[in-house]
Amino acid sequence: MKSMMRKTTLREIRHSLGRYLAILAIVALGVGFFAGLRVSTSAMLQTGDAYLKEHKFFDFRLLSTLGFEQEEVDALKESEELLTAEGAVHTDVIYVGADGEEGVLSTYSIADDVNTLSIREGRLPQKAYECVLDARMQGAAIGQEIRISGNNHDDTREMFACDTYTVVGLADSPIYLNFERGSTSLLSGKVDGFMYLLPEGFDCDYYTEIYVRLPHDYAIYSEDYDRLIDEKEEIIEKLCGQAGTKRYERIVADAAQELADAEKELADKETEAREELADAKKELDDAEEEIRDAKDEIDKKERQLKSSRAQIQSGLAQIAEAKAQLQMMNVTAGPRWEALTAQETELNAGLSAASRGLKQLEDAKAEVAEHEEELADGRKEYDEASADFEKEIADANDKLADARKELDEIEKPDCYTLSRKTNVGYVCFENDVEIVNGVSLVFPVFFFLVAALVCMTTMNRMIEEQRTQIGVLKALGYGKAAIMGKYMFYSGSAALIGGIGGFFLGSYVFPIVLWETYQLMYGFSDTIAFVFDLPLFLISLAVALLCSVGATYFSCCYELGSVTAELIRPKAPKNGKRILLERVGWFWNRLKFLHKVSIRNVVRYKKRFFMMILGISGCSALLVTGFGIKDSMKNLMTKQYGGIELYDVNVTFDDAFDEGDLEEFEGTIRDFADKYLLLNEESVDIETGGVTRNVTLIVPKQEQELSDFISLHTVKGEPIAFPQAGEIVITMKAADKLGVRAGDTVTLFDSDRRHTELLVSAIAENYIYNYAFINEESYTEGLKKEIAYTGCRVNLKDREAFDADNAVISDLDFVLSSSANRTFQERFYGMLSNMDYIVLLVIVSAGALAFIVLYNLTNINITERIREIATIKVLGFYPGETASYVFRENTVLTVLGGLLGLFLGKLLHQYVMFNIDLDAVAFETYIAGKSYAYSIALTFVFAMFVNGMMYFKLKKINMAESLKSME
Amino acid sequence: MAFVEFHDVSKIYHMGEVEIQALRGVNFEIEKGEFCVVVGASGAGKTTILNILGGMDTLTGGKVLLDGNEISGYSERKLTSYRRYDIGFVFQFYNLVQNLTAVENVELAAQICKNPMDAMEVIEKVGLKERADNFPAQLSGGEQQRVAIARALAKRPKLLLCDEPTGALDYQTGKAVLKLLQDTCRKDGVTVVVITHNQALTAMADRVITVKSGSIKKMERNQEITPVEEIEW
Repeated sequence: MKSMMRKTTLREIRHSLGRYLAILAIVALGVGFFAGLRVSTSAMLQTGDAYLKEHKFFDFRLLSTLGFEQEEVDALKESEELLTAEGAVHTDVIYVGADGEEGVLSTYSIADDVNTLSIREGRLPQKAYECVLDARMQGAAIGQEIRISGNNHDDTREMFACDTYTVVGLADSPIYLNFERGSTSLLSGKVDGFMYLLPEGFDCDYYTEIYVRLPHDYAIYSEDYDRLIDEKEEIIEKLCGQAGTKRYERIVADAAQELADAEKELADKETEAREELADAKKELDDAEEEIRDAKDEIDKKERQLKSSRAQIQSGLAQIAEAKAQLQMMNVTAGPRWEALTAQETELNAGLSAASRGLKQLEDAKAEVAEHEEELADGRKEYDEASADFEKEIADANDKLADARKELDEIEKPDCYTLSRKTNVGYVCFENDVEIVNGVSLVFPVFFFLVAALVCMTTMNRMIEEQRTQIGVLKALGYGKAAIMGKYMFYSGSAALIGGIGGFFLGSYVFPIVLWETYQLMYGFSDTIAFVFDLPLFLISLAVALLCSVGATYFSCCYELGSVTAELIRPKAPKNGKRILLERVGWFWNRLKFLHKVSIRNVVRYKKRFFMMILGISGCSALLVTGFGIKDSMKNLMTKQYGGIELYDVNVTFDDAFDEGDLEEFEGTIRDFADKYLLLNEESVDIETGGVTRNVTLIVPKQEQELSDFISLHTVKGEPIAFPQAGEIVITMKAADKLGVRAGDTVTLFDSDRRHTELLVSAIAENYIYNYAFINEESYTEGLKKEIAYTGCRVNLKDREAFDADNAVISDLDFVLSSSANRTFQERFYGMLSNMDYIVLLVIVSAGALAFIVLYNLTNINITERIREIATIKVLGFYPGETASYVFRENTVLTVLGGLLGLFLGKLLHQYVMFNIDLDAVAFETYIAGKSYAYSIALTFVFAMFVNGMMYFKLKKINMAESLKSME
Repeated sequence: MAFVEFHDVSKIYHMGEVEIQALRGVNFEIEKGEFCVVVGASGAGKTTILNILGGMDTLTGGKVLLDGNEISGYSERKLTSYRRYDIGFVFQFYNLVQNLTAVENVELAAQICKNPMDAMEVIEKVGLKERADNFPAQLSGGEQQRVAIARALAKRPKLLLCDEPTGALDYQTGKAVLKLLQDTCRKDGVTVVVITHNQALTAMADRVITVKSGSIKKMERNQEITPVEEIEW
């Protein structure tokens, strides 16, 4: 007996395979959607997590204005708090690409143990002149040459070991999870991509940053991870500060040492030089004395010679006189004469000797004069050298003094400890996952519901069709359980197979499809993790079974409750009834009666009516939600940048900003700034009732001018007066999270835990980030500290010139960062275009939903009314008329469902937006009018598509059906 | 030339690989204004004749003429127009649209005609004035069949085709319906073709066509017409 029942059950399945498969497919679709979307969030997270773990994504990034050295890195490595620390060089550089155009590349040194690259193509560099380029950069290719432009600042140029680098590989970097490449103060501010070099590729004796990893195994974005980061942040900050200080001390010590060395060298050189000079002087003096001696001697000799010559001449004269006397005496001979002649000859010889001597002396004199000249030259030389030397010494001393001054002027570095939250890609990924999560909360439930309902109507219909058979079985004496078992097995097995298949297919396909759409933004992994969620699996199956078997059970119970005899007789067709609307004569009488038929039919099959309405309204609601998500985000941008943040440039000064800098700043921006407002901007905690929220505190210098830069107003648009002393204005998202309203009291804590109690005077409209505003008095009196202006908001004379003006501001030494509001907006609009994928997903889902519901119900409708339709055809209705006779109901229901869906969509959209909970962004639910129009139009397109398909089914209906007896 | 002419009509159905010859060389004719009964056992081919005559099915061979028009050559579209303007149908199970009242069912057919009768007038003619606003479910079988006849007549058809019009009715009601059909034929001059397996109905017909195994066994004009009231089965 049992086996016969089994036989008929299996045969039933075989004979009505279409229907069986329909139930199976609908359950599979419902479960698939449900499971797929639910699992997608986890799959995305797991994929991201696996990727970041594999590539050793940093936990903290330490920055110092002075940089770090290997010693600091080594010291950090010693710390027990850290798993590892690795120094890296990073700088933005202007390069010349293959096309000769200049662009900016963010350049990094390759690290071994943190932020490792995933090579897409090619290999890692092995030589200093090789590099790896951003795989997502436009036109990036292996073999390409990247030339460091001559237009770079000298300091930047000197950081590079080579002028040209050859691309040997294309890679993804975990630092850039999404397509966003950040901005720079170079050129137009746009970064083309990143480039990685070997450490040798840089000619830089320090690291610009240190990447730190902590010993943990927490999943990205997990609460555990956030807690860990919160806990460790302070310690890491301290370590970072220490590292910065050490580097500073070493720089100072090195410089001092160098200075001391230089001083000593100078002193040594001075002494040596002075000795040399003294020697030279002595030599000169000696020479002078020698010359003087020689002159003296010459003089003496001359005098001697002259006197001896005079004697000789007087002797000669005497001889001549004596000779003359002798001549007069005619004595020309004789011994006396001869004696005289001899004497005369002697004297003449003496005379010529004296003359010769004199002549020699003249020569000696000339020689001495020469020496004298030489000496004079020597003296001159000496004087010059001596003067030079003095000057040199003075110069050297000046230089030393400068160096000393410079040494004194080396500032303690500003150190920054940045967590992953400052990495754009990391944060964007979280936001996107959160959006998918929000979407996944709503849509699947919808699909599940529809699957259940469709399953229910189908089984209902089947049991109604088979009531005669049920009656016969009952008449034969089969028990309720046996009869019911057949149908429950039928629907149950379909649901089970469909459920299991749908679950795995959904879990597999959905994340892949979703991932595929996200590939444009996140290229880091080609495949997405497969997640098997056991609880979800069991829940889906349980619900699928409950819906199908439950629906069958109730339908069976209803039929089996009837008397057997009644069951065997064919069921009378559902009676026609007058409907309420007919009482409204003026309306009803004006209708064509074919329209009357449609309206009556709509009301006649109430269950189908509701399902149809549900399906179609679901479709248009999904569409409204999908478009709405995009509208809301777009609207949010418009409001934030068009109505709240009105300034053009946001400038942040470094910690050492002082009066002099302010003067320079004012001087620089005077040319192009229309107005500017100095303000104190710092991160504070606001606490109330045990809830803490981190916000950015803004204290403007001239509070009455704030409205030109930031508009404070309520959501309703009423302007907010700037808070008085003791008051605070908080932006709405933070206020919402804190649960405060105007009139409440909050406590404000600064980073040193100084605190003050303030009265919330108003809640300001704001969508991006969280701010609080207080006046200067509240700040100085409340927190008991001096106010320092850390930033400035600037309005430009020419808003279109924001790029150039911003670059000028960025270039100032004391400006830490400067960003044009417009650049920010443009970037956001760029991200917004990715929402198109979400919208597309929604449109496809909505289409599928509309299709399933309309197709199934129209199909049932046609099957049930096949006699009526055949009769209509026999009566001579043309195919078009027949179709409109049948489909007019669909059209009516599409209109009704579509309109209801617009309303439901508004609610659904609110719910989704409420569930997309991002810390820094407040969503406002806004749906543009045209989105409603698109939604209803698309719903109609879907409905018309189904009608179009059904038209062919109608054409195939055989008129002979009208002749058949009723079964 | 007769009003309806079947010349050598054959019809073969293909059921998968099996060929079923439903009609083989059927020849008959019906004159205008006649009350004709086509009689035969089930499976003899009556319904096929009805389908072909009613423009609901095409034929495999031969020729069918109605009022001089060859309908066997009609396209799908033309056949629809033919059903629409020339033929009135009365079904065994009435085939009323459950959702429409009696008069609305008549209107349903009248609406698509060029020169229909007034729906209410026809309803009165078939004697259902009081029940005009009732839904089919509120009417008895006989009353429903009257509505069906009214629906067919409202179109002012050239030919009224009735498929076992009494098949689902009890004896008395069946007679009343037959009377209505006969009166329609006599008074309004509509050509009526009744298809039935009930031999007894042949007594009231002007012309009797007997079908057997897909061909015409006999066609004869009835010389002695028995009034409906006297027929018994």
